[in-house]
Amino acid sequence: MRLVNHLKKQIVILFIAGSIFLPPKILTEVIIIPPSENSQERLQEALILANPGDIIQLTTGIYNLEDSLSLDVDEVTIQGDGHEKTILNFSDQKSGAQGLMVTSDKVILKNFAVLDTKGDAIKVKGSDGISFIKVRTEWSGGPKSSNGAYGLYPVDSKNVLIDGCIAIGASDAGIYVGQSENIVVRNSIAKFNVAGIEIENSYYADVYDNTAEDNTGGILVFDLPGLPQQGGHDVRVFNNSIVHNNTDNFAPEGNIVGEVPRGTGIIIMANSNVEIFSNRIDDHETVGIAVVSYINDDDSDDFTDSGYYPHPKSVQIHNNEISRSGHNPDLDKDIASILYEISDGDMPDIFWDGVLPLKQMILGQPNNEKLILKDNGEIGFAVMNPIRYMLSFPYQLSRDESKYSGNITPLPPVKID
Amino acid sequence: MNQNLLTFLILICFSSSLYAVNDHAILSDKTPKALSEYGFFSDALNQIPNEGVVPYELITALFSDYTDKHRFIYLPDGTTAKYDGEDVFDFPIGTALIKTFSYQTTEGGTLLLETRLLLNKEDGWDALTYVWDIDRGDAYLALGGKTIEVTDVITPTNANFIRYRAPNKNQCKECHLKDDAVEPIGPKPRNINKAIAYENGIESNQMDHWAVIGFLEEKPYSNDSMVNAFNKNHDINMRARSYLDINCGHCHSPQGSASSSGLYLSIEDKEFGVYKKPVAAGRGSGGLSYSIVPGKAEESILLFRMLSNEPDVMMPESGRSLMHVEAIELITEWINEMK
Repeated sequence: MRLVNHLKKQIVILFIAGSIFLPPKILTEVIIIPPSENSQERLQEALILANPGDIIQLTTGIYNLEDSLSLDVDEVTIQGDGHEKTILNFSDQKSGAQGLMVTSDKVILKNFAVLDTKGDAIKVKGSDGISFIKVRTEWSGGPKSSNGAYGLYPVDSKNVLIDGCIAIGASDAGIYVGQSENIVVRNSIAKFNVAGIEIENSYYADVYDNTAEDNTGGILVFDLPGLPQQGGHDVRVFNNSIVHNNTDNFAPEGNIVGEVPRGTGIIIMANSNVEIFSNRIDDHETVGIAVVSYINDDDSDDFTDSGYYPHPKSVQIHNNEISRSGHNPDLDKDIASILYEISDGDMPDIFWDGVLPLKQMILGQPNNEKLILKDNGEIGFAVMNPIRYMLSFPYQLSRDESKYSGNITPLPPVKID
Repeated sequence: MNQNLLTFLILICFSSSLYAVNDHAILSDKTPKALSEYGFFSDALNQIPNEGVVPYELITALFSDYTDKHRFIYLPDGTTAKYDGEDVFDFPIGTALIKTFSYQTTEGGTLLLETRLLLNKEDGWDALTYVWDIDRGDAYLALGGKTIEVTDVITPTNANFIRYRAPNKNQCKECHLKDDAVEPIGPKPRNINKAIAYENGIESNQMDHWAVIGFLEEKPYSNDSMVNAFNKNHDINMRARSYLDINCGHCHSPQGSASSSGLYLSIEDKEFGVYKKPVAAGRGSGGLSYSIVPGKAEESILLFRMLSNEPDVMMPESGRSLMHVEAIELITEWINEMK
């Protein structure tokens, strides 16, 4: 009797403990959607009817889709059997500006490929917690200006993880993170895009252990005016392999990446607190690393945008291995042609355009905002003197690297919630 | 009067107003599969509404492939909408906004396509669409959207084939999203501030009429209104801004789906793309540098994207497969006259 009572008690305790430790939702459903004649409706309905916690399981095969898909339910995982096996094929796309759109939080996209969308491949907007894991986006016809703009495209999002992904053939950026916060891009491959990986108007990004090859430009860290979020800062780019990004620029005109010269390893434009270290940057026909201001040379009212700072500051470049830069510069692009002109054809590995607010160009920069170069080996460095350049005075370029030595203040690693 | 007869008459009155429209269906978590379950129509095929379901019109409407739109509003018995400044009216829980899309056929009939609903439930607006199955005389829920291939209908541009898309539920949200909630777009004071002819043949301003029937609180309203974008008696600037407001402003606002573009096109926005550079437009920029170049429509991205039917170029992104020729003419003229 006592034993029975004891057991009962135990069971009650177990039950209570169980109910405490059970997650709030009772069941995680796995919804399996194999490819079929009406993949479009079936997949889209599953994405709409999913409950938080559900897994939408795609199987091996090709899903032929004519319209964009979208997910707006939190805590959903969409996963396939691998990016070589589970293919969302949009080559007959009739409507929708992207292949897949995600607008909800805590979403995981995993192990599938999105191919040949008319516009962007995967766009994620306004999400807190978005993971792309081993996802491939590709335009299979090679680099063409008719390809969609972005492969993996989270924007206006927080806690973004891109891990083990592949992005090929985007006519703007293969991996593009815009106006976002807390970002990790790692173990990924970007090739044959205009920009391999681009971090734009974003805060706290770590980009590491990636390969960017055969793009027009390998990795871009940009900040642009006129957007809801600007003043990009705290970006670390390290341990990446950035090699022979010498594909001709095939971006449609009118886009900022259209200005990127073929053969560029890294460009840092108008960001603050940027640390570039331990990368291998090899074989770039224009330049290994360029640090530049956002230059307004036209009719737009960018500089009436009082919240925008067009100059890079507090940029640290150290311990990189940079080789074979500038052997065939892309003279169609301003950065390259100006640099070629003022360097008399002796192109540097690292270039800073030297453009600062006028006061700083005359009186000097605050110490904590200066460019720092350290332990990059035997490299060619060049900085422009913009005032002399504008006035056509001699000595428009300085190659004196010693002014930019200093101690490195490492930026803290990014934490994703 | 006999007491029993009075009770009977009261019951009849109530039952007709209470049971024509199914309030429970509007508020239920279990979304009805068929449109008829709501009871909005006494003759759905001819779009004749039941009692309490009131037709309304907008001054300038969203372009949807030249479809005719039949709009209705239903408020639960005894409830009233309130003004919320210039914003969409503050509608009571249980409100239904109903919009049926159709074409006139070349044979003289009407081809019903879909009926979209915005239902104001306890936890916010729900956006749904029901696609018509004429043979069965009803329309059925299409959460995943539907493609309808349309031929033999009358459009101003004589389109002989239209790939009409009923939106999926998420696409409804894309346009109707404001911050994190779904909101109606049309029923703002400025959009309905005009007279229409009601059943009895009497013309009345819609806001006055809504007040008379108890749909809307009685309050003097501002005379501000949109203009009919295609009435050439109005100022071209107002015509163009009215068109952009209703067709673009819901996404292109700081709270809308296109917030990250930095291009805002509501009528109250002071900057509306003049010398605005594209951001993540891809091929959508068309090789052009700015959304609007005053005096040069042909160099303006805004017009370029109205002139395209390609998925990654066209604007709006969804909701049309044809070009809106009259609007293209309007925007061209507007930009060319702009200084």
